[in-house]
Amino acid sequence: MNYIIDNHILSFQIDAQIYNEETVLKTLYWLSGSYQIDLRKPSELCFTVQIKPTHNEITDWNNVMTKINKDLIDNQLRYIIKIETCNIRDLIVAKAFLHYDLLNEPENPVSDPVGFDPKAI
Amino acid sequence: MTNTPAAIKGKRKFTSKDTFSNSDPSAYFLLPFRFLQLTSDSEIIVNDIGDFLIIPSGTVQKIVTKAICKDRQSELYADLIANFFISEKAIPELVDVISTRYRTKKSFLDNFTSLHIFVISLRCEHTCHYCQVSRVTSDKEMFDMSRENIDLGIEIMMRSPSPNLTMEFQGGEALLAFDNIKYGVEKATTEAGRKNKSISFVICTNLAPLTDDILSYCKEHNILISSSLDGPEFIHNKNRHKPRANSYQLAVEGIFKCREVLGEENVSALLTTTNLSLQHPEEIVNEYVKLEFRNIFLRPISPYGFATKAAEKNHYNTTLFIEFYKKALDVIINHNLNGYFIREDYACIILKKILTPFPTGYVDLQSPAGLINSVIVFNYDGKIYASDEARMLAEMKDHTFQLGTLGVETYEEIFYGDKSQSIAECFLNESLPGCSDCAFQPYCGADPVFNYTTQGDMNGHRPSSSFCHKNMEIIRHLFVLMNEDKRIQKIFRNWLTGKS
Ligand code: SF4
Repeated sequence: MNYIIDNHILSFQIDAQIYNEETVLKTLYWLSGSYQIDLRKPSELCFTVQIKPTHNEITDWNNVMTKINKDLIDNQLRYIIKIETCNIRDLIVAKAFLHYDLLNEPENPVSDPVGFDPKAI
Repeated sequence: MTNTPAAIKGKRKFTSKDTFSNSDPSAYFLLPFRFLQLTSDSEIIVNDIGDFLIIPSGTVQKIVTKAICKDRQSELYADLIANFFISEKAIPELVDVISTRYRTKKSFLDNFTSLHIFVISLRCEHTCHYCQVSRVTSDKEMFDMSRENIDLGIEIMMRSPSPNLTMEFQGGEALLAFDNIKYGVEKATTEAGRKNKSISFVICTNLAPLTDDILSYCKEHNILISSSLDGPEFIHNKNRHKPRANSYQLAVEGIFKCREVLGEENVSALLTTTNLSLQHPEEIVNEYVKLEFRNIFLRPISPYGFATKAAEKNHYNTTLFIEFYKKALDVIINHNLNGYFIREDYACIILKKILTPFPTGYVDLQSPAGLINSVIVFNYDGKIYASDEARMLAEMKDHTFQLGTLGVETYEEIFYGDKSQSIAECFLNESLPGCSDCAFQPYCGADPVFNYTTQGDMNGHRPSSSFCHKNMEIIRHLFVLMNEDKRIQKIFRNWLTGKS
């Protein structure tokens, strides 16, 4: 990813056709402790990012860019995992706590396959 | 067109059955998991039930892009299946097992609040420099919990759904109000009997006011003693100043007396880490070994002594604490390698979450957070707080985590009221920014009081959080140690089983 540094500010673009907004936000979040971050989306094709150290300290921008590149890929993988597994995660959690609901159901020996109220019999 | 059986027999009206079977060895389904880089050449994957695998860097990408071949990488493939990271079916056959294990991991919630802390007196005879709470005074009226408030606290405690309760007496110096402790123990024992609950008692004390009568009462009522020892004499006495007396000597003599009368297992000592302690990890551990302790709790820095709202200072202090922790842990491990069993309690709490299916009762490292769910504090003046740290914060004139007042709010208003609900919104690390993607989430916790105290916001900001920095590094270090040296892994497992 190409970048430019001007007056202690790092500027670069991220391809929005490869990385979605969630991935970009999660990547930049972890930099937000040490840097001020300006993120924009001027078109559907890209994000523009400007990063400035909070305290104007000397920064090894190569390292920062290496981290950003790696984190973008990692967060995109996390996104894929999330999308593929969100239903099964919900199922696991729902089944884990289902027991409580069952306990609270009123016990009734009459089944109700067609939807009438067994208590009314 | 791809080369599938249906494509070859293009004229078939229905797609062949083979199309739907999992004949491709690399066709598997992902199960929920998180990952992070562990070392420069390894990464760790962890699922919601705490199962983990340490794998070479780059493997996660292959797993996610379905590039792991069942035949060519059979061992890795089997590990991924066995540890619930992938499944050959969209819904794994063992989904009920995964759910049951998830439920077990969260079973600390089953009984709701069990630990009830009674700040029985704010009076103390020590003048410790880091303590912002206690008062050196003989004014019992003003700084001791009234009998009426003790009754009201017990009443609330008995409403807890938990069949097992713990009533912990704290101070100031709790033993200065021993008559009130006796009153509370007897009243709570009677009430617990009526409600068919079991109850245990703990007194937190610096042991200076200990007498033989107090000890025999503790013996008679199975009361546990939790004391403090900050290391060798020069550290302990510097941290814990007692006018005209040697605090270290009183503590050590008290510990030996308690062991003799109550038994070794019924007395423990806590270490408070201060700036001075950070320079002496070896001396502190060796002091505990010299005094024949079998455990030491290298307690993380408290935000009330060290951390402030200055993020950089917090980061610096946390870095120093992590260095101290790693050095002290090395010394502890070496004692174990040389045949002396001594375990480190913070590591044990995390290791239990890593190596067993069970949760721990440690309230500072839970999700949902331990405050309210596991612990509640009744202050000497009748005010009710969400945790011990919350009452410390109140002593600094910030009542954000005050849930009510004894005799004023009802049980429902205290535990399920607006204040509790607003805290609940940020006490799940599963949904906190940063934590929601963190591989260490099942081993870590959420601490809204710490976040609020250090960052002014209950949700907290992970990139500058000393809670996150500390836990991330300690958990990572434990994994690296276990992975690099099988002898250390054995020691860690022995810590959990208690075997020397
Ligand atoms: S606090 Fe930090 S280490 Fe703990 S789960 Fe959150 S991100 Fe991970």
